[in-house]
Amino acid sequence: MPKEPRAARHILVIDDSEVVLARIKRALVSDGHLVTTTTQTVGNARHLGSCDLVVIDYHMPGIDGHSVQEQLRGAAAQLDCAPLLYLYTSDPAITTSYQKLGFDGCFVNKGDEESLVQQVRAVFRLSQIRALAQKGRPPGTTEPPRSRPRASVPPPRSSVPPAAADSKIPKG
Amino acid sequence: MDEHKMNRSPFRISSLGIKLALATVAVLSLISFLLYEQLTTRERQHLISSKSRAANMVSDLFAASLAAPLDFGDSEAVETELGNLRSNGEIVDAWVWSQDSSDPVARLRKGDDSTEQAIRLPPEREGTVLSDDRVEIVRSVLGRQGKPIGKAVVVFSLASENASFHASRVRILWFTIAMDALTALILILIARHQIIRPLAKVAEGTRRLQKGDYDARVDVRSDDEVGQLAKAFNAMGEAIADREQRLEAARKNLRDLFDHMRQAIFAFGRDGKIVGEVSRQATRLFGHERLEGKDVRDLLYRDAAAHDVDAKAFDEWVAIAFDVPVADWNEVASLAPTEVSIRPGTAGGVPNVMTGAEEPVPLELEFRPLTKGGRVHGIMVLATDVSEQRYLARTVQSREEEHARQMAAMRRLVAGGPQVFVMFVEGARQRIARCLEIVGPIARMLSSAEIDELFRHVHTIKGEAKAFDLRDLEAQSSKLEEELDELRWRARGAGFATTSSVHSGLLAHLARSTDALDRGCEIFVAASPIGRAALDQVTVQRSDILQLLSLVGDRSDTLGQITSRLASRPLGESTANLLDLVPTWAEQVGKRARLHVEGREVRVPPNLARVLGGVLTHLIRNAIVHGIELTDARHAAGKSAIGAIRVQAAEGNSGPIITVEDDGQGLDLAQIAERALEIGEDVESRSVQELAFLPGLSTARRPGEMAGRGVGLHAVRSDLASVGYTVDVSSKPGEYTRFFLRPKSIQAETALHSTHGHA
Repeated sequence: MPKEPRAARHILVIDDSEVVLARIKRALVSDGHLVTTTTQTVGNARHLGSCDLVVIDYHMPGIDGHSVQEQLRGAAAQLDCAPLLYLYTSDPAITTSYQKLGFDGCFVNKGDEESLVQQVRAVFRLSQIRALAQKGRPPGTTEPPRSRPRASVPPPRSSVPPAAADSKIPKG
Repeated sequence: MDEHKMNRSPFRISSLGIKLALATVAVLSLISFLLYEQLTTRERQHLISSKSRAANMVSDLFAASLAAPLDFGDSEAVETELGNLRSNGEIVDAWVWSQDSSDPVARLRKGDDSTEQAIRLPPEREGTVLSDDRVEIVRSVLGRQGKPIGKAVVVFSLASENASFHASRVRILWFTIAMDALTALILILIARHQIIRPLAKVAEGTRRLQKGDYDARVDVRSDDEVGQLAKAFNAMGEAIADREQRLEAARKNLRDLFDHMRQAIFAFGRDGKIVGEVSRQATRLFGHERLEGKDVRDLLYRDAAAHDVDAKAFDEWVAIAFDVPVADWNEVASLAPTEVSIRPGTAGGVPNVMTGAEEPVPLELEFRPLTKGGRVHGIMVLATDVSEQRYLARTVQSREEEHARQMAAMRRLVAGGPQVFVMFVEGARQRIARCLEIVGPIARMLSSAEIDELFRHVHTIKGEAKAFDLRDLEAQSSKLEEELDELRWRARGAGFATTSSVHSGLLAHLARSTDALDRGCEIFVAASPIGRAALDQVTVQRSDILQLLSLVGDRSDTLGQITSRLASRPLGESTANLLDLVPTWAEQVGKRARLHVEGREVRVPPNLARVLGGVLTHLIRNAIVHGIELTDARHAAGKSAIGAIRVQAAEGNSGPIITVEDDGQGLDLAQIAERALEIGEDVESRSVQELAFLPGLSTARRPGEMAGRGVGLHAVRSDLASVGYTVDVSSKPGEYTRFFLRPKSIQAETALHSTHGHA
């Protein structure tokens, strides 16, 4: 897989399987990211300050993914630059409700690390694109210019505006 | 019919000939009309002028003839004079007045001129009055003293002049028309021949050229402007034909290049729709004959869901990509996707070699701007199908992993004792042979007992293969086991089963098992330090051999030779652990080195084998410390970064000859001599070879963990001497150092090539 030159991003991955985490870490580190993995459901807030992206497996056996997400969201609210919270799942049914669950986005094809790497790249690209669009946006506007709006893209979560949600990512 | 013709007025004249003729006729008509007017007007004036002069003369004579009658008041004479005028056909009327009367004295009236006024007053002044149809002359009649005594008016008709004028006018008109027509005809003929026909040829040539007939030429031979135009046209036609040919060739080359490029190439505009030319690879890859007008997003992210972050990023990238100045393109391009996977159906998916299922096609993407006026007006996409590369990379990686795993397994195996593996191989071959014997060359009925025996053999092979990590053999055995299990089930109850339906399958599985076993042996040979020789081994107790050797003693007969051969060890056994140690030792002194062993299966006599491990360790560590250069120095000397140390062995009549060679800097003779002097040795009487093996001599300033204590080469020589071997050294500065280990019985041929040495 060709590598894109970029600054290293810090990604926190939370999953209940050490094996899964090892595979994910190997793939993301190979792509040039700094990766922290954990199976712990508490105490992850300490990572958020230096984190650009948090990837969470929502449905972990015996673990309340929602409470983990709530904890992280609460801790992130205290930060100036909150990391993006992304759901990682192989369940297509959940992908449509990630906003309701309080996530900024959703990674699919769980188990396919190559696909995850591409999706993570796209997240960071998207944030840079939005930052670039913001830079070139006429004063007074709030949305980046769109020549072809996609009607099927759901509206951003009301509690976290897209610009704010993505504001952590642009680094250069 | 083209639009131009459709919009043309039906009265519009397109022929230049007709236009020229009409223009000629119009000009000639105008000229003729003016000429005609001038001629006829002059003709009429001339006629009237003549008439007027004649009328004046007649009137003067008539006035003179009236002087006497009016003077005497003789009205009859006046009437007579008037009567004389009657014979003049030109005179239509005449009046005579006496001086003091307003009533005419007499009047001559001809014809039925009823329109003439009956009573007319005498005109006051003399003169001539002209009208269209008459000339009226007024004259005073003078008396004897010259005084006016009356007035006379004579009216002359212009009818004859008018008739003559009209006839003349008609003639001139016809003449003019005839001249016009003739002139126009001549001009048209000349124009048609000299201008219109050549121009028509040029026009026809132009039309042919327009239709793509680049051989169209105009045959005009005149040297006038039209001829020059035709020559210019022909030259232009040749130039166009030549340019078209070159353009066509260039276009064809470009198209070929375009179509044969590995990338799928197309471009899209601001609205995301594909525009312009599309490469053949693009139509093949995306599965559409016509891509123009299709949405690039639908091609690259056809099945993307609403939450697909890749598709979302692409949408927003396209939205900004057209609004940035060209100078900022690189920044924007770095945010474009570099890869996308399209699903089977969008393009022909790549069938998985194992499952046959179609897999997504990975495409590497590049985006290039199409600019106009410093702005991006289109974006070219270069999409490269990298599924083959990915597949190959995965295959190579999995094979490498498999190979590494097998090698690791074999190293573990060898470390645990190759005899076990040899026993397994022999046992597995015997089991397969027994299975083949039971299955037989032709299908037959097998008893339950035979099937059970087959199953046991195969099951054992499978288990053992698993123990030795031979996955191929394990997989083949597993499949065979499944078939035998099925056969055993069928035999249950009846006590037998026929093999007609599975006979060939059983044979094939057994053949593949044999192949897998052979491959396992090959891997073993590659991984084993003693190579293929290990496979020839039989398992015996080392202590038994050593006891036998001591019983036989130093006999040189056949028994002694066989015993010695039985007790001999392969060279590979002495070098096995060194293979992994050499890189580590080199790293310890900041260098890089690798050991290469040739002739691992060469048999080493037991007495030499006893010391050879230590000897090789000394020589190799010496080579690492003193011979192999640091990486920078090797680069500077044009050598590869990794130093090579080679141990080679060859069978000799009296025993193996072993060479240890490194590609380092060679022996440092000056230092060896200097150190020899320092420890009080006589440098003059000894060769460098002797000096290098002196006890306590080392070129290292400080002893290290690996060398430098001055005991290495001396110990080597001593150990080898104790088993009847000698050691010699040769070297070439900057290229190599080579140690020869030979039986004493072989006359040493090699002398020290260099006078420099190290220890």
